[in-house]
Amino acid sequence: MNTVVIAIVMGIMYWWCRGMIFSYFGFLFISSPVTVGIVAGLLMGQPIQGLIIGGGIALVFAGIIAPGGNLPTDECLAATCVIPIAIQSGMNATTAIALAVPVGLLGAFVTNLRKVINTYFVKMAEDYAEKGNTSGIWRCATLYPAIAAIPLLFLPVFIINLVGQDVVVNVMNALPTFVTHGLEVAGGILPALGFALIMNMIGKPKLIPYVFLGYVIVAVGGVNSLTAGIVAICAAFIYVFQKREIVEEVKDNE
Amino acid sequence: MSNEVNTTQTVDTSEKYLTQKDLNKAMFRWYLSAEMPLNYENMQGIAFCGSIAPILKKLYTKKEDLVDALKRHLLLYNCNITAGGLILGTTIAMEEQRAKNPAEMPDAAITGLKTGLMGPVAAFGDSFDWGIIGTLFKIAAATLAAAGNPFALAALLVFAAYCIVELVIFTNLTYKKGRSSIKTIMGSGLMQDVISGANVLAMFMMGAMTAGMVSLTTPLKVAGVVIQEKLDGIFPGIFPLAALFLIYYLVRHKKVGTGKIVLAIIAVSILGAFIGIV
Repeated sequence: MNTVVIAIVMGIMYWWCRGMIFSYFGFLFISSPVTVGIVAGLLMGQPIQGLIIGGGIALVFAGIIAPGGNLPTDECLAATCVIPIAIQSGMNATTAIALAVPVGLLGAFVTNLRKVINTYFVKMAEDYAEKGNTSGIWRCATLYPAIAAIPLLFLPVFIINLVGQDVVVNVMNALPTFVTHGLEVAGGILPALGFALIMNMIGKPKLIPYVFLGYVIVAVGGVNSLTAGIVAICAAFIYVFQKREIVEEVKDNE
Repeated sequence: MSNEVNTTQTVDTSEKYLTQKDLNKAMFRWYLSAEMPLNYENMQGIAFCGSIAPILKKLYTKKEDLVDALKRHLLLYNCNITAGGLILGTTIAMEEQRAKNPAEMPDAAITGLKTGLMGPVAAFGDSFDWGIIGTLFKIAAATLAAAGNPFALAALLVFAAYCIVELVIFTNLTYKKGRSSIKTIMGSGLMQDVISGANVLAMFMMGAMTAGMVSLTTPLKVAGVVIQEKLDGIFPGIFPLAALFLIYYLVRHKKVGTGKIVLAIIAVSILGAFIGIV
């Protein structure tokens, strides 16, 4: 399909998710590289390829959550800018991942800028409050920030999608083989960053043996991820029940 | 059962001004707008005020009361959106009480509750909903997608639905049962069990996912012996696991930022490709 249409759709998706329309629906569903991948893929007639690249990007970013609304890196910006270009130029998933991650880092800048721009609506809402105008406040909460976000969120993604493809293809062709191979290798390692961030966030170093257990059952045991999930759920139940039993025994002894 | 509910209620049902419809409207508005006007001055303040504005308008018929109430809710507010239903429901219940009897419910109590609880509730929501449950769903979706399976979208939708259900349950519960219910919910033993079980599940899956999703091998040969084959004979895929723990160490103990690690991974990979060891 036409590059302009794809650029518009990608721009709208980024505007929707970082404009935070329908909060977690936008934040979680629209912003996911999986969703972006399948939409971009459908527009370009390669939904499965889009899905595969999107899934790879999503894995790297899976460990990144936004405590207090601070986004260290932006999976949706990465996905909306990189996936259409990757599909069009026939890039493989690992190279796309390595390209997407640095793009994501720019996203933190955009989200912070939005929070600066939105301070303008605080004063406006206060004036409406003074007049008891409830629908005015509601417009400050929804309509105005959504409009203000168009140049900030829609435009950059739209433009990158329009001009980016030629640039990226030319650069990728000009790069020596060891660089493109290096990017592929990086794409293979990067998901480990996502997992390490999740382990850090859980913040329970004494649970690290479970990481080894999970690793061994898949790497050595060769089971698929669904089976691994079932084993993991069993491990979780055993852990909780054992803990409860110990607590009860201690209580009985007292 | 009905007696039990009545005794825990702080507000008398026979005199409620608000209907379920008002509550639903507030929840819908909150879910739609919560982060849209996010800003550095009052964070989600405009959205919180805008979401309950119709309720305030209904409760306060005198203009100066309405203006006071609107200004009160334009103050700084920042919380996890769906777990924040705990605060939304409680706030609405308190405003209703204040509308009936201002002396019994000073405005400082309402503001105090909001600002005092937004931290702990956000910590719970961000770490449990997003950190654990959300991460598991995101990983499930990403894994399915990476394998080319469109059911990935369903996994994401299930989590989005979970968040909405949480908002609806928490808001209704705290509105009906009053202020004390927040502590009861957040401190219950069952909640602690669910959290620790989910932690084990997540840690286990991190290992399993590393085995399945992270790839790092070496093409090196020493005197005709393929190194990777020998290593796989000892411990299959030792490099991905080593990479995981190296990054974990940098994040946890060296507090290296995500951006730096990303750039380092890319630089080291390109360097490795140049020397020919990866």
